[in-house]
Amino acid sequence: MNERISNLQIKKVKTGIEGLDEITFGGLPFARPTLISGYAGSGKTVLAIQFVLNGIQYYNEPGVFITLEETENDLRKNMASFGYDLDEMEKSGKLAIDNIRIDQTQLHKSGKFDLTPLFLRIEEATKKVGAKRIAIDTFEQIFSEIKDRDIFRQELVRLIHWLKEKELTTVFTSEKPAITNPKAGINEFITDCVINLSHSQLENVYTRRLHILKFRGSMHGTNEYPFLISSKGISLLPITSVEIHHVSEDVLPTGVEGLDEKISKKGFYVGSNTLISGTSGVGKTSVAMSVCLAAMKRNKKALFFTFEESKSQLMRNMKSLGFELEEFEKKGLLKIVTSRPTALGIEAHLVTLYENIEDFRPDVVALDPVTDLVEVGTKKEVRGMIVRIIDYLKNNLITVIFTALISSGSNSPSVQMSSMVDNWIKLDISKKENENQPYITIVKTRGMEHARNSSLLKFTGEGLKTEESI
Amino acid sequence: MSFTKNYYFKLFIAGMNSGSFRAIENVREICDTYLNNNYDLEVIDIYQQRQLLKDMNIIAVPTLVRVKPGPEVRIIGDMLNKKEIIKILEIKEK
Repeated sequence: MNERISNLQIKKVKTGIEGLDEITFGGLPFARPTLISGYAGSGKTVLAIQFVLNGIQYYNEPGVFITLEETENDLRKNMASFGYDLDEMEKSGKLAIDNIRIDQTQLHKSGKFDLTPLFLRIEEATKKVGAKRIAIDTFEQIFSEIKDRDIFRQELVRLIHWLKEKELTTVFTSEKPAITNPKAGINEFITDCVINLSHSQLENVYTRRLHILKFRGSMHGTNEYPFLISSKGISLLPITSVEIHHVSEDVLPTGVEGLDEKISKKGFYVGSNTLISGTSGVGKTSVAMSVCLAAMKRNKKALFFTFEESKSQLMRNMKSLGFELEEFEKKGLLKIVTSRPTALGIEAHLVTLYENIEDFRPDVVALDPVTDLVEVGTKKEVRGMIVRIIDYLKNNLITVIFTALISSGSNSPSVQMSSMVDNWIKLDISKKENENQPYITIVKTRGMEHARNSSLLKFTGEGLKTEESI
Repeated sequence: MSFTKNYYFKLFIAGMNSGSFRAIENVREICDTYLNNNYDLEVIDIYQQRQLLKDMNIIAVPTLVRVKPGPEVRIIGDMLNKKEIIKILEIKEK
């Protein structure tokens, strides 16, 4: 019985595409064909070619890319924008690209024929580099040329058989989404592993999703996973509900004098996320920056996203608190990114965020205020995005600070938001006695105790300080 | 390439097997019957001429290419149906 089970653990080939190897539990099936289906623009060509290029770049597996759609030059340019140097890979004998041009002149048919010439070209390319991986994009073009379904079917079966024999792990792309067209084009012949890519636009928000429809002999994530095409190519940010998050016992102080004393652990857990809510101008940004500063003083890196202010405005305001941000910027410990919510859609924001995090590798990330994003996405989309970010950051043990603007008169941000976060600090302005005095209250801390009373929040030239109200 | 004949064909086949022989035979028969020696037929084995198959974008075998007279006409198949072939090639029946 155990033997049978271990036999079911089929051999897999890593794609090197972030998130995909996780949800397939190891990559694509070895020596078998995988189908990537999706309409034009869905990202299937990128995925297919990245599979081959990553094989060369990371796993020392030469590969072949057969293109029936793009010219070699276009491919070179497109993949260069993702950081792949196709020329170099070809020169080093690891990559072979063959652009099979389908002639425009009309092809007449009379009697039986076969596609041996095509196979010869494919074989030649694989022999040239000793390929272990191959992507064919898109084989259906052949059908539109020869139009004979029986021969097409017969030859495709022959090709797949040959590829299996040569132990070539293959990716075929298909224009027709496999879920709605299981018998269309090449879809019915490729049954080992089927992945569908979709992209939809809802209220100005553009979301791409990857869905593993089938993976014979293997466990796989069954959700529709949102993904991005960033400057590094395709990456999934899966919500790993199964995976246990790494946890840390280390603590990051808030840097607000007196506040840490109100928390049992004297700060927040590294890798936790904290919400700072309050009305406009109450001091949320200052508190967020204070946490970042405390981290930077310990030689940790902070990435501060501001959706409202300009960088110079922000740095000037922080100076009045004695926060000398320039010096930390010079040391390479601080990066401030301005991102106007209305300039980009949710998708693009997520990409910017992600790219900055990958490049800068911060220990702390602040998003100020995250509520501005609701202007460009539905609440649901924004929430979805935040969950994905939180999950991604948590897994990388990055501490997150969100600030959220609440309208005066309302008491708290949406219920869902506050339940998503580990820690919650509330700032409000006292209504009594013609004061404009901000108060700070720790509402929630996960995994530790905290004092529940509100304290006055003072803005001094030496940073933020709390003072107990009488 | 001959400059004196009116017709010039290239026939692409994959190796010398029975299917290839049949295609060659069929094409010869058509040419002999209707073209009265006014043709050149070049048989190209794609196994021997790999670059040519790429240069000319041959994706199937057998492929018959009428190079002359232009414009170029291509037929894929075993060429068994002679009536069909001469129609496509626009050869006048005697």
